[in-house]
Amino acid sequence: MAQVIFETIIRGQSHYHKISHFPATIGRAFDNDIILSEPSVSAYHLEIDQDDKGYVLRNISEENGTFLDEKQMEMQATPINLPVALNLGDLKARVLSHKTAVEPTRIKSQSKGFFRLLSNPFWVASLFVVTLCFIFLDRYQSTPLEKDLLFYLNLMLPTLFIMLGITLVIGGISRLSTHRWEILSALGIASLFFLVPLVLDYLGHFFDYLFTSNTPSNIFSNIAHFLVLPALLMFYMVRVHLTPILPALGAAILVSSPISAYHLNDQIDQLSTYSGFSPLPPYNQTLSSFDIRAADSLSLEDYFNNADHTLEEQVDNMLKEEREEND
Amino acid sequence: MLIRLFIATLFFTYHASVLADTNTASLYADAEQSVYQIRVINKETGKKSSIGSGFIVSKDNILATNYHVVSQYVNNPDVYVLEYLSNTKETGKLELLDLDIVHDLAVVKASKRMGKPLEIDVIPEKGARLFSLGNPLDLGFSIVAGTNNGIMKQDEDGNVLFSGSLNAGMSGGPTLNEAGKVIGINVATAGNNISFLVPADYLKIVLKRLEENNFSPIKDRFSHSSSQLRTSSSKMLTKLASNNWGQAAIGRFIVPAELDKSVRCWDASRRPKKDDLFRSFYTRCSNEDDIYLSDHLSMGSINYEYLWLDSKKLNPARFYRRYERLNSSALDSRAGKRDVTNFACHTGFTRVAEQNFKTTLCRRDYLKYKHLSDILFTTALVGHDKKGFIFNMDITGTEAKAATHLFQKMLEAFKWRK
Repeated sequence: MAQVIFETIIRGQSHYHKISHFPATIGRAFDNDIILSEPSVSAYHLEIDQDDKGYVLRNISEENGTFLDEKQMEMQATPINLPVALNLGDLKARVLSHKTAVEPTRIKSQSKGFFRLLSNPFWVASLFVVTLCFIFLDRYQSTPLEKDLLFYLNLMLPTLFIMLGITLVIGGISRLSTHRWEILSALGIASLFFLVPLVLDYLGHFFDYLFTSNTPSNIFSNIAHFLVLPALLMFYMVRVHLTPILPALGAAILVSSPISAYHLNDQIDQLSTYSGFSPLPPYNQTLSSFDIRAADSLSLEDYFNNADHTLEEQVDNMLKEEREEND
Repeated sequence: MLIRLFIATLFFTYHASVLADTNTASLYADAEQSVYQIRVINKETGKKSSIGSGFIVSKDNILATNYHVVSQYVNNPDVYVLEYLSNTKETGKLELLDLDIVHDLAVVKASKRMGKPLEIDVIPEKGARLFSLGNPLDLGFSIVAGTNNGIMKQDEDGNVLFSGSLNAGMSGGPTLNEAGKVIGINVATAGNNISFLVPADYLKIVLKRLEENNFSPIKDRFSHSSSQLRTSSSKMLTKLASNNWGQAAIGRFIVPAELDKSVRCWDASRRPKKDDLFRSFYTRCSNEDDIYLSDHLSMGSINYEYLWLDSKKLNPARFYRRYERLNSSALDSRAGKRDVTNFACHTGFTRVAEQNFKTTLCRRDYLKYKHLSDILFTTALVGHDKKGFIFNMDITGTEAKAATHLFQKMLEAFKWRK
């Protein structure tokens, strides 16, 4: 027996109604075959029927009417080829064949331990505590004064508030889209938002000193500015909302774009400063108590010979460029 | 030099107290015809942009003045012209003949007869009466009496300390002895009757050079000045390198103290706070001298500083946070894009006094003043958990090699106290 599926889409969620008796009426009145609650739908809005050639639609709403593939339908019967997209007032709907294939099942992650970072309460709590400790240590290290514990806790408070705020926002979005708060996962991801850039900052400093160069910290800070936020958002959507990777990537890039744009603006400012004149000497100023470095200590004689030679070359190049610009 | 800038500007409060003296009156009457106002005029507006004084020193139309009086014209000959104004309100064009940028002297030539040249004499004994002439604040020609207080030992330029009241606009005017002969050229003031004169001997050298060249003007002003600046700087650095420096202790280090009589050191340590967890000591030394090149450019400064930092209570990571923040060095200079290149730097690790240091040498070159560089050196002790030491030094307007030679010599004199 022939069947069609009438799909309504409300706030991104699909609802399916199977029609096996024709003609079938659709509307808000309770004696319809399919009853809709959307207020812009008429009491008797649409009729789906079957003839020897296939299916026909008949608009019976004189109020907001029906749009078939974005064209307003007249009152007479219109033959259709499945599937078709409809608008009943403000309601989005589709008419599909019952043979339409469904999307593959999303397999929930079965992995245990570390990979359940965002759903296992133990891990989330540890992540949160580790992040707080890290921030506390950072604030503590940068204050070389005798202060009591409350002072450092006070320094942490703004970060803590922002972290909880982000948790609420992410949880709220989850609630809207999946009807679950997922507050633990949200707290986990909010912790990572703070932990990862801080760790990258420390790594950048370590490698800067190791190689006596500012390049590592530049790379790490660019990662922190441009990659961390979208990557974490995507990770969250894939893990928690079970969104497929590509849509998750798209959404993550979209959501993080204002922040990326802000950093990009900063980056462009910096680039234009570097390419122009600067009265400041650009040199690697990092110092580290570990003193782990790739370069050995040279004798003064060797150092000055190297430096004199290198600088002579670099300055000569700059003078040459300057002369070329003026010519 | 800061005090020099006082005289280059015209916005200086005027407190002249000219002593009435019969001698002064006759001196003034004799010299009056030989002293002129020198003015830099903007070609477009025809208005004066800066003024100073000048006096006839040779033939009947060769005038001497300060370089800083004519510097605007020297740096922008397309925008400005040089003029004189006599005390009979007569004006005329002037041509630049020669410069001694190091001693702030310039010699210019008028196209017509100007008057009788003043004779040059040696500096009299300390305490002798001197008379300074010029046109202070554009108010009219004046004579100021004062006392010779000798050549300043502290100042490498060997300027004469004149206890009289020089004022803006008198720059470039002559200072006469009681015989009415020029012994110095007015150059700067620090206010309160502390004024400075360039010994006329330096003017003699310029005049001799001009005579040999038949009073033909110098061709390339900047290369002429560059070579003077190079000579002066290398003379200075050679002297510093060969001096017997005193020793100073800072933290666990023994370091060179004042490199020369012209260098003064000051303590600039941070006042300790009650809740500090570290100690820091800071000494700054400077030759307190700059050679004036233009309103935003000067050379010849030598600055160095030592900073010691230690702690018993801070953990190493916390100590190094603080230490690292202090490890940044920059040059106090207003040189811009049209004056110098960017800095190029070379960082490495060195052994000094059996300790390891993270060391950086930076250099930038002047664009118009060829073969002159600003050199910045900075080095920080590494490898000690709770001890930090930073030595910064910068030299402006020097040859790079001479500067690094001095740095190396100084570092070799460092000693670590066990």
